[in-house]
Amino acid sequence: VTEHLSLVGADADLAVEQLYAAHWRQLVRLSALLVHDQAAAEDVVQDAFVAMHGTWSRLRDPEKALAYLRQAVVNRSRSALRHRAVVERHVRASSAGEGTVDGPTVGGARRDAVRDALRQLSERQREVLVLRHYLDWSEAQIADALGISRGAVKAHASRGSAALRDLLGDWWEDPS
Amino acid sequence: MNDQLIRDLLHEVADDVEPEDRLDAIRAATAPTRGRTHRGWWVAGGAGLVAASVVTAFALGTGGAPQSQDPGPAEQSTSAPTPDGTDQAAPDESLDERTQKLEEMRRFADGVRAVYYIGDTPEGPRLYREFLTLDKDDTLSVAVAAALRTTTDGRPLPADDHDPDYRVVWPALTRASAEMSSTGDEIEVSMGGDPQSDLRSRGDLSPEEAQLAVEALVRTAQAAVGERLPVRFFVFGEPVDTLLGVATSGPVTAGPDLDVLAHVSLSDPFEGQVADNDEPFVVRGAASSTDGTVTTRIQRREGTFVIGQKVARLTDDATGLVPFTSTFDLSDAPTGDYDVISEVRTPTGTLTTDTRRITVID
Repeated sequence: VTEHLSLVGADADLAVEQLYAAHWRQLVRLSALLVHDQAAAEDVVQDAFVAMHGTWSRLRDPEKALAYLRQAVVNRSRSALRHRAVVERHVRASSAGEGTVDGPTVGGARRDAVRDALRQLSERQREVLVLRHYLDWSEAQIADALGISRGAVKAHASRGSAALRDLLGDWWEDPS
Repeated sequence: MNDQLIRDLLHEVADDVEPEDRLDAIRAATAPTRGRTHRGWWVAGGAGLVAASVVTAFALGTGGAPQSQDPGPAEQSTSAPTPDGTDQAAPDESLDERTQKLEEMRRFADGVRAVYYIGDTPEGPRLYREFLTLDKDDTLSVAVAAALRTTTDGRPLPADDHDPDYRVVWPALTRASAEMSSTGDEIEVSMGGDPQSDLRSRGDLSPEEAQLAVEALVRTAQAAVGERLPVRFFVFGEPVDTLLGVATSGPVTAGPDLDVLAHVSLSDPFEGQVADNDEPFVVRGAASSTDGTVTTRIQRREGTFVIGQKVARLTDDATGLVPFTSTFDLSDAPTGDYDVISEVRTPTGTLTTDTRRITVID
């Protein structure tokens, strides 16, 4: 809290430095869950920080700035994903089935399975699940952030978890 | 159970990501990209807005947006009969008028457009214009985004050359783009970025500010296409019945100039302009004043010493703002920072001003 308080009245550069130190990693991870690509996630969050810097005069408050960053990361991840979907369709058409190659560990395999499953969810389902369970946002916060009703949030969440359970099959039964 | 499992799995996947350091890249992208060149507006990354080194008012008679019965961008409402001994509003009428029309056409072709922002007057908030040079490939969207102080891809515009007296009251993440309707007789403005509830409701804004925020987009879009077409609003792709609490279920048209616009608005100089004291210094703008005159003074930023004052006579136009020009000789002005202040008297007897900061060089 004191770290945050020290930001009040700070200039935009300082705000960026401090918020970067405190939140860069988590924001990139959030975006990576949504866009399935680390470099793209870093781009998205970098852009969000640059935008936050430019908007600092209207934020002037670290709490608001963090809320702004999270919202910007969610919005920009969606745009990044849509942009890439077009590119990926072309790639997939030309090069068939090259999956992610990862280490042989069980953990690695399970992570791959979860990543693959997340990709197969609808955009909304994925967003709702990630915001609900990774950021621990309330249904109301999610509804607000995504511009949908709370009922829709509930529906996406329950369909999303059901789909995830189906897709993960054995992993779901035995998460060890 | 279920939820906890999903939480664990998401964290497991996320924690596997070890982000690379981008702090230097962020610092580089947020560092001032230029010295104080006072060349006008630049957008790092070339997102559509380019330098406005010189700007001239066009279609001043309608407050920046040419009227729909005047299809051409350069059309202007009736111009001034030459007035008397005060500084001329339109010297050498016919020639001046023709020159100005040509100049307006050239500027319009160059992508110069009026973009509207909220500023304060003694009468309450009103709209002021800034003339910006916009990307000609997508002038409409770039203009509407610039009215939110963003680029078309949602990045904030640099604050440096923006007139600090003007403001944008939309929620911080708001984005906008615009296109002509398929029928070509309406402009479609699409909003997004912020939570829908924030875009739809008025929040902390006064009813006046909310109304003006919507009006600013309408007028900016109209000025961008050079026609006073009705504007239809969308939020996240869907038609929207209220924006900031303002009814937008049908097509929205611009309000009456005198109710909406600040009664004086400068188009030259632009904020931060550098003026060579060897050259005549021309102040242009649009105004409406109950005493029929607009007074412009140039004063030193420090000490407020006035180095010059001119009075321009306005032609009668009960319905809107009319153009005015005042020319100053700065040859005796010491180099330094100055304020250019144009002032008119409003129907309630108060004085409304528009101010630009300039730097005089030798």
